[in-house]
Amino acid sequence: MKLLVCVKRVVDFNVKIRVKPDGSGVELANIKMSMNPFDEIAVEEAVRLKEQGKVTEIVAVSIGPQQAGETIRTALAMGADRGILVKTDATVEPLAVAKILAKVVEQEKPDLVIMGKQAIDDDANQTGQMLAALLGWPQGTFAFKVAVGEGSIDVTREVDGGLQTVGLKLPAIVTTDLRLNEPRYASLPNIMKAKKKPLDETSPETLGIDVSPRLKVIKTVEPGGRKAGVKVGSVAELVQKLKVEAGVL
Amino acid sequence: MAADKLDGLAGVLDSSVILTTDEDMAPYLADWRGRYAGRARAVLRPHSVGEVSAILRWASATLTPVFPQGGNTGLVGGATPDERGTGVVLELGRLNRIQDIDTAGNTLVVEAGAILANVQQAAADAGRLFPMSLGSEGSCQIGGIIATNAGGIHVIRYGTTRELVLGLDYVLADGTIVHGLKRLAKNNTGYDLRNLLIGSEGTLAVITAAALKLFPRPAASASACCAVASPQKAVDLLSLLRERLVGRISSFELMCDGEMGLVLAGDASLRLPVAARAPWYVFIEVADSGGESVLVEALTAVLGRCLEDGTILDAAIAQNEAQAKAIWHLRFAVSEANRRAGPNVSHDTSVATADVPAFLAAVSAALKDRFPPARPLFVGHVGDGNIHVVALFPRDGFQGPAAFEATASAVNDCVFAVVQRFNGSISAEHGIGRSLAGHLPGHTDPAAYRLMRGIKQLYDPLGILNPGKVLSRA
Repeated sequence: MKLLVCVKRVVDFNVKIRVKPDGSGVELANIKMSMNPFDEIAVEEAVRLKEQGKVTEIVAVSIGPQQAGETIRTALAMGADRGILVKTDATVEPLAVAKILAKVVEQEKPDLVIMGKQAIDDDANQTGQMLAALLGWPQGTFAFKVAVGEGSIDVTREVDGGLQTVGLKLPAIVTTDLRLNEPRYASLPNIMKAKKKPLDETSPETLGIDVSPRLKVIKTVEPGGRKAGVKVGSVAELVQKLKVEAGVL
Repeated sequence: MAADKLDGLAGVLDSSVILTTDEDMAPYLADWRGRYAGRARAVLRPHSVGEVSAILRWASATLTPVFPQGGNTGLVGGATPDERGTGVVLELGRLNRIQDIDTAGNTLVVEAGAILANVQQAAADAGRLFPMSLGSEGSCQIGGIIATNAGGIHVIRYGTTRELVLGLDYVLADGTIVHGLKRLAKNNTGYDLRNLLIGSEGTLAVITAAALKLFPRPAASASACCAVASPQKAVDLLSLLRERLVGRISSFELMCDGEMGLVLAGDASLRLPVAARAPWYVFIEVADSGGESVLVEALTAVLGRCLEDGTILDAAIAQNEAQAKAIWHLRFAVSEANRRAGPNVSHDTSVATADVPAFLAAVSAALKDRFPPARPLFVGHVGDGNIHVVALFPRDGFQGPAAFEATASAVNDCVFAVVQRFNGSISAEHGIGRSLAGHLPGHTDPAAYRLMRGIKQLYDPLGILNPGKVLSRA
């Protein structure tokens, strides 16, 4: 069984995001970039499935600038077998990403596609669902646990009410949630091996996909700061404030 | 306790400054490892330098011992009052304002009670780096760091606290306030009193504010954890890294597998970064102003070579900040893990870097020979030759604190005898405090020790400042 795992290069989770002074976006110069943490979980799951003998080949795909190749190398160091970089310097919105991935799926014919439920930069949470729609494949989103069977996959999902297990026929799309697994460290021997693994390059144009944005960002602003709390002298005062000022009672 | 009016001090200070109930005072009367528990008439928490001065004037007039205290994270009992209960603890935590950040001159002026992590953050917010970093950085205070000349994990690149302090404000034993907050890189005007106070452990004066050096913030950093077969391999690795990554090594730390076992056992959420347990581990951080990928590439290339020639057995290179933090958490969790593991005697010795492997072998052999129930553990800063030797005893190994103290002293003697053979130091970064005051004369040139006594007499003629610390009671 062949597996496609999608990885996005984003601002590192631990970096404090700053808005550019002119409000045109967030500051990306000299900022540490890493693999989207949800995608890292997707890669880990893919590698575990391979280690369990359920998967024979893992292909890692990323869409982005040249440096997104480093993100693919990380996936290769974690255990993916080869990579595909769809190179573009443009801002690619979820629908365009899904269309590109649909093309890659058409060429690669994987039995399973795993990706993060969302990327921590735009938090869109759309690509997996859109890809499922474009391909007409079943989807198991917000995966907490996956179990691969014969031609099928059971995905236990994190939903508002708790957990829900869905059975999907392969080929299918799975998007990962935070508790699915804990990604491994990339070991030095594997990092060195990863350098020799194949990494192909293509582009949206070659795949025939128009990535021009459909949305326009008008302005980017910092969220308002949290207001300072107040101390109250008595329970009566607290109740009064909750009733009158906060309006919650 | 209400009966103790503190000889009139209560009339001079705001009541919020003075803590006297057992419950309020408890956190300040014992060291965090629980090795020392003292008593005091009161714990004083002043809001201003004026109040510090008033307290010391009063203490001089009433001959009341004063035990200055920062975050109370010391490892040699330097901040704990004695058992006599006649003195007061002077806790500086309320003097915690960051007064000025100068990004042109790369300086930061801060009051003594500011917590190290907050100072690091303030520097970071201004786009600068305050490089002091150690396990207790979330609690320890700037004043305590200076009073103990703390080291930490970045000494290899930025030096000890001494090299990070430009100027000091302090209050003398008689209450005189001395202003010395100069932010000058060059200042040769007479004897360097600032350097005398750095590392004086509260025995000469009470530090109230400091001008600190800041550095450009490295744009890129990379962390790795390597498995190595022996301390010699770690020293070899350090030499090679120094050659290949000139000036970019920020930390280079060594840990034995026994210590790693304790750390991992203490917290189920921690994971070993490398594939399998190994005899020793090295933690590396490199940082640079250039691009991230270039730096990671350079580190990977050097480590790759080391893997091929057998210098290292395995390595994990952090792929993101979260992994870098997780790797360093293992190193920082050591003190906490040792405290949980059982009674232990730790040492803060240093020897020349090249002597580290032979020193560790000799100490290990000496401890096994003299104290068979103890497990020798090693963790520390290879680049500084500063390896912490810890002798961990079985949990029920001692009947009472006195039995432990007696053995601890014998273990100290055993380790220090080896240190002497290697011409090393019995306290590289933790200070002398109370734990080592008795050992200091035996490891110091007699003339130098007499000078130290003379200096103490000059600064503190009444002997009220942190008595019994650094220099044992005469």
